[in-house]
Amino acid sequence: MKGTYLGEFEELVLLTVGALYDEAYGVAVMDEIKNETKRGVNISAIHSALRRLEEKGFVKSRMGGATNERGGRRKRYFVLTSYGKKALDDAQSLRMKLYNRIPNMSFGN
Amino acid sequence: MNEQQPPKWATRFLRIYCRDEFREEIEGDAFELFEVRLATLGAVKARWLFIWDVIRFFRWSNIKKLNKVQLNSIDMYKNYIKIAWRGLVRSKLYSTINIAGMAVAMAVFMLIFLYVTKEISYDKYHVKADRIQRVVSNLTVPGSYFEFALTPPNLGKNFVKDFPEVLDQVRLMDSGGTLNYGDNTFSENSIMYTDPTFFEFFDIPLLQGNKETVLSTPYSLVLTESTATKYFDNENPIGKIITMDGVDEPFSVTGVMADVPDNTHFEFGMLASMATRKAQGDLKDNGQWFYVSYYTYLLFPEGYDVQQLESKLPDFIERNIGDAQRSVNQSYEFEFQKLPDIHLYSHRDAEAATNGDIQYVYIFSIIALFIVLIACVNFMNLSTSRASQRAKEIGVRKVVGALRRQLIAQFLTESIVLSLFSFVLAFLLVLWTLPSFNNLVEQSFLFVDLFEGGFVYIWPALMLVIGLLAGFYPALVLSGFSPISVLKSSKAQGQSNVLLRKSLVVFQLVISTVLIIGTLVINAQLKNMQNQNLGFNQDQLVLMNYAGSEDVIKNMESIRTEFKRTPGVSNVSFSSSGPAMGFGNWYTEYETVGGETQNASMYGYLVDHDFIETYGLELITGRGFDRAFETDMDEAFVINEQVLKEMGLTKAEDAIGKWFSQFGKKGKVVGVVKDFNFRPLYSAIEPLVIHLTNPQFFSFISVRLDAGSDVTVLAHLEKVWDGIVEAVPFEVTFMDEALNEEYFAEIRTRKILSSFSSLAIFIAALGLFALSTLSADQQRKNISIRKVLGAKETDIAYRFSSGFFKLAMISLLISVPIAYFASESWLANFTYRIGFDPVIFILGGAITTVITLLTVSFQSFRITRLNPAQNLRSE
Repeated sequence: MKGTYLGEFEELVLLTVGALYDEAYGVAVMDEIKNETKRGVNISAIHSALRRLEEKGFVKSRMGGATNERGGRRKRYFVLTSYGKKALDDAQSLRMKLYNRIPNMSFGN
Repeated sequence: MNEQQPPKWATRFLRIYCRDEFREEIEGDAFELFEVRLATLGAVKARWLFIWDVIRFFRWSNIKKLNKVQLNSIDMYKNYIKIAWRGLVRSKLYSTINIAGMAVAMAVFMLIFLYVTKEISYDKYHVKADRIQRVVSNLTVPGSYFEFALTPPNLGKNFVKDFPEVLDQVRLMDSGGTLNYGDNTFSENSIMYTDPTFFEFFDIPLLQGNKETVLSTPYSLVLTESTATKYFDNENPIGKIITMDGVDEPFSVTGVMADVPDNTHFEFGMLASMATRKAQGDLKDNGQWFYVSYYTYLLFPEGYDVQQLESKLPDFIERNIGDAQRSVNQSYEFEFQKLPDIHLYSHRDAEAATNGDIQYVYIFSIIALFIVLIACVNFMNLSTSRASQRAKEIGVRKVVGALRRQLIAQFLTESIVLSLFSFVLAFLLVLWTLPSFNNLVEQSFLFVDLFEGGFVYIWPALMLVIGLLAGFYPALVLSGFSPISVLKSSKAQGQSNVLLRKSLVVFQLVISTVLIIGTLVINAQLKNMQNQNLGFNQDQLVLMNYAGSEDVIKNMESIRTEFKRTPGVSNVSFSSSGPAMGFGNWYTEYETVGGETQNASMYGYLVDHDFIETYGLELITGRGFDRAFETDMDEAFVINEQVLKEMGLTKAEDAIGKWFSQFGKKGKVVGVVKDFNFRPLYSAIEPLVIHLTNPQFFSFISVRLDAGSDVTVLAHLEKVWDGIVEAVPFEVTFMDEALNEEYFAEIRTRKILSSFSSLAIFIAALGLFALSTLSADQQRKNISIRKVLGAKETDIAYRFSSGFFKLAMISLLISVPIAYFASESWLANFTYRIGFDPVIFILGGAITTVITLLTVSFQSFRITRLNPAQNLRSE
């Protein structure tokens, strides 16, 4: 299937969405990534990644209720879909499979 | 400015570009970040970072899509083009004929366009073109009348003096000479003497030198760029000294100008100052009223109507020239010619260069138009007669709701697509044929000339117009089909178009026939002029113009004897000019029948003793010049038949012994020669007086070679020449070639006309071929049934072709009178014109009829050969 490839940054965003569960919206995802990876990310990159993930079906979104924060503008919350969860599982198991094959003594230094 | 808020303009910018469905969340996130940063980083940084975020959000995926709302009609047009393309591919024959015919027509149109625009562009580039008039003179002398492009030298000055509205004047005087620079010698036949005002009148840029002074002193030369390169290569020409044979004073180069543009009615290699002629004593400050050798141009104020001046002319002439005129019994009239009109409208004696002819501009434009019309008619005819094949499609379109104007749009799109293809092809054709066309018309057009300036817009516009013109009628007809009847019956609709289709075919045939007859007439007339019996033997006659070089004149006798000794040479003669090249016109007095003195202006031809023999002129009575009569040198005149007529004599013998006086010489007529044509093409043979003269008036050598002698003779002559003459290089022309050059414009016209009118009939035949193929296909069943029932093949072929034959006959009836009147009005311009020749008309008619019938019968025979079972089986 076209477009199901998961890029490194996309995977990071997807994981963060999963981890934040019900609280994943643009700024929150950005802050979380900043905190966890110490990596400076621009908010627009997060938006693009989220939109791509939604197009690929890994996340779905809904608009939150109106509040007094942010000048009354609503947030768009993202949640992991089961397809997204499966994609993360696949990536994880592939990684583990390869990881486990690394012999303990072969550190080539 | 509120520091606690993000910059308003950044928010506004975000709102402008951002897609509506993302706007709220993006704005929200950016705002949230701003609030956080405001608290931690301070207002300034927060504002900057907000701006940065807004810029980073400016991504393709976030930007509004402008054409999100797709117009339905765009899809429709896509569909029209698709259908048009399918139609083209499906019926290859018709598409090919349509496109090829149109492309050829367009290519012809483009080529003629190049030619015509060049012709009408002459002298328009001068800024003051509309304010400049050339004065030309009509000179009436007893018994004769001349129309010169030239005027007396001091005419312009008198205009300036007498009329305040004449702002300025400039004169040109075309001359030649042998010029020397260092060791190099050049024979220049176009040195233009002119006034310092030259550069005020004509916008040819002066590259080096000062406009005010370059031509103000005697013996100054202004060279054109290419002449300067010829003489000095890369050296700086300014201040260089050039000497002229026969002139003691040396010339110095004072300026360099750009080459004279092609579209100028005169041409020259260099300008010399008019003061030179004054210094040489040739030109005086006043008088000299019968020295007709100067072109005069006058400058008028903006918007001045020259007719006002014309009404004052008789007074002007009387005041200035009245007495002079009466003393020689001649009289002038002057006319004005607008500068840009000279090239196409002026055909006077002694024009500065070969002029074009507005008639040919018209003829060519008409041909171009006709050819395009023929191609358009092809298109209209083919699409309407193919209507039956499209009927179902139209019916279905109508049933599903197509409006009539949509159908019209569809068919117009189709024809525009076709015309687009033809245009592309036409450009390729032009690209391919341009070199040979340039060759044909002796021009150097470039492909890019087609797109120069405003011309760029012509082609797309023309493409649309032709597309619309060709598709307009079919579109109306096809869109008018009633869907029910079209879908119900398989019978072809559009029988009502038959009359129109037939008239269009007749129209095409008429145009083709008129073009063919016209071409034949023009061909015959031009051939007739070329084959005019010139009255002398033009074969094997070698000419050389040495422009009066002193070196030659000095050595005349040795050249004569050495040339005569060369094997293959039968005779040698020196003369003032060559036949078909123009002569001086002199004041002449002669003795009338009654013995009284009569004066006239007659052409004079100064020759040596061997001239009559060398040229093979035929003596009617009397004798030629003879070295045995020593008095011949000063007293013998030979006249032509026209002089006899002028004298009112019927018997040539009566002229012998009458006295004549011309060119300061008085003597008796010793012989009469048959007329020979020394003024080519348009004009009749004029009275001519031939007499002997001193070598210094000669500038031509004519050498008669033995019949059958070849180029080796020329090599011998060159060796002899180089042994004797240093100043002038050996450059010869053959008489017949020189004459052909005279007729060159005519030959060229003939060639262009013939090629284009054959293209016209070719395109018409192409259309006819397609039309008959179509009609044969539509009549398959009809013909097959006849065949099955026992009709003979020839009968069927006859039945099929007779319709077209009738059309051909009708078009003949229409076209012959048109062609007759057109050709009569054209022929009226010529002095030596062919009479009405029925053969030409029969031939012209026969060509179209035969081509029509051949095209059509080819189809009818193809149809009759088919197996009828095959045609009848399929429905």
